[in-house]
Formats: sequence, structure tokens, C-alpha cells
Amino acid sequence: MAWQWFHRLGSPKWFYEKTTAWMPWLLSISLLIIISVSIWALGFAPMDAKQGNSYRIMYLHVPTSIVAMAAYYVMAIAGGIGIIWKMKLSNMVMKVAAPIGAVLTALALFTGAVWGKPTWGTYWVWDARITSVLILLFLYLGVIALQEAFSDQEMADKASAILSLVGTVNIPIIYKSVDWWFTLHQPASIKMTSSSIASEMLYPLLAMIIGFYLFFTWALLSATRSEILQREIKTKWVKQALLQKA
Amino acid sequence: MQFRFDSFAEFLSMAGHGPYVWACYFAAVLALGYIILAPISRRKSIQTQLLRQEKIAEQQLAMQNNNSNA
Repeated sequence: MAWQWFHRLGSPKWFYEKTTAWMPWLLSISLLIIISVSIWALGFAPMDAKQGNSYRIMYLHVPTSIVAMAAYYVMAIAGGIGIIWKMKLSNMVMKVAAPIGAVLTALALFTGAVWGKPTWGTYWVWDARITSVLILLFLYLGVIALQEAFSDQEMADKASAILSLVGTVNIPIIYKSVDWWFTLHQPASIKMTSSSIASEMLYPLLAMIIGFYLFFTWALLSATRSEILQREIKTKWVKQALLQKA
Repeated sequence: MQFRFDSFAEFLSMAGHGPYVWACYFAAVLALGYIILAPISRRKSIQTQLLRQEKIAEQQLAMQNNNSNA
């Protein structure tokens, strides 16, 4: 009885049916937050005394970077569960987290580079934080490539899961890089205990982080649902679900 | 809460930082747009794939029936 939820979670059909009702809500609420906070951040948040208006990039750069790393946890943990318990759904989540994480990491690197130009005077430096995030992007691309490289899905999942798990060593390095090698990238401005950022600037940032997390949840569920349809295409319920809508 | 710029032109130029700020927000629109559309278009292609398979299966079945009738 206690483990029933765990077995259910392993059932793609149960997962697909359960999440159907959430999808439009998650997408519209997250987009509403992201768009309205963007307007707030671009036009209404106060200008930064030192960085001027370029700091408005922070409202994209920080949430994108946070969620790009959250995607890695999801991918690695799902990969681990897939290897240990051979859970079908878990392998699907691992696979679809990689392209989402790759796009978010690329966006984090791009916004960081563009923000660096007016602030540091350069688009790119081989600073510890920036380099470790570039490695994060390569890890995502590695998982995507491994998924394409095997014709056997089970082999592809196993190989991707191992790469994801080995790659988790990069995560604490990304976190700690700003403290261990204090070079160009600044340390975190928001901490649980104290924040070195004015509340007028902080609130839109926190709202944007929530918006990005919700958006990521939608993206992960949506991509997993498509993956379920592809892998379970031979089953009766998938055929019914697809042909009904056609 | 007040609008921090005197005119729309100033809002666009952002005292010289406009191109950097707007480039980032434009890139975000592209990235999020891709993340939204990718699973939706994938679902569509799976659907057409299934429809094609069903059609082939139907045709084969019809052909078998014709052969057995003849």
C-alpha cells in the first residue's frame, strides 16, 4: 500500500492521464508571470547605481541559470532511478530534460556574455564560473548525443544515465566556483539568510525565479508526455489518445 | 511603482545599454518559444506517423480480403 504511488509513478499511462489537466494551467500561469515580471524588470524596477540599465539582464540571467542547473538534478536523479529500479518513466524524464537544460544553459551563457560586455568590458573570460557552466552545456549535449548514438533505447538510456551521474561532480564546482576562485564573476547576491540586494530589485527577481521554475515544470511534463506517446505508440491507449485528437 | 524612463525612445535606448538588454530579452523569447513548440510539434509528427501506419495496415487488410474473396 505504502509503495503504491511509486509503482503508479512508473506507469506512463497513469502519468499521462494524471498530468493532462495541469498542462494548460501551468503554461499560462508561468508565461503570465514571466511576461508581467519582464515588463516590471525592464521599465519599473529602479536603475542600478553602478551598472546602470544593463543590470536589467539579471532578471533573465539569474533565473535561467538557476533552472538550467535544476534541470541537471532532474536529469541525473531520473537517470539514477532508471538504472537502479529500471523505471521506464524515469528514463524518459532523463532523456527529455537534456535538451531543455541545454537550451536554458545556452541562454544563461548568452545573457551572461552580453551582460559582461558593458559591465566587465568583455563578452567572455575563462573565469571558473563561466567555464564550469560551459561544461554543463557540454554534458547536456553529451546526453543528447548518446541518446542519438544507440539504436537500442535501453542501451541509450543506460549510457546517458551514467554520463549524467558522473557529470554531477560539476554541480558543486559551479556552485562553489565563485568562492573558490574569486576572479571576475560575482558571488551570489541572494542567500537564505541575507541578501545584498535592495528589496525593490529583489522582489521581481524572486517572482521571475518562480515563473521560470513553473515554466520548466511545464516544459519537462510536456516533453515527457510526447516521449511517452513515442515509446508507447504500440499500446492501445496511446493509439486511442492520438487518434481521438486527429 | 513608477515608470523609470521619460520617453519611449529613452526606454528603448536605456542610456546606451539598450542593445545589450534587448538582445537578451529577444534571445529569451527565442529560447522559451523553442521549448514550448518542440514537444507540441513532436506530438503532431507522432500523430501523423501513427495515422500513416494505420492507413497501411487498413490497406493490407483490404488487399488480403480481396485475395481471399478471389
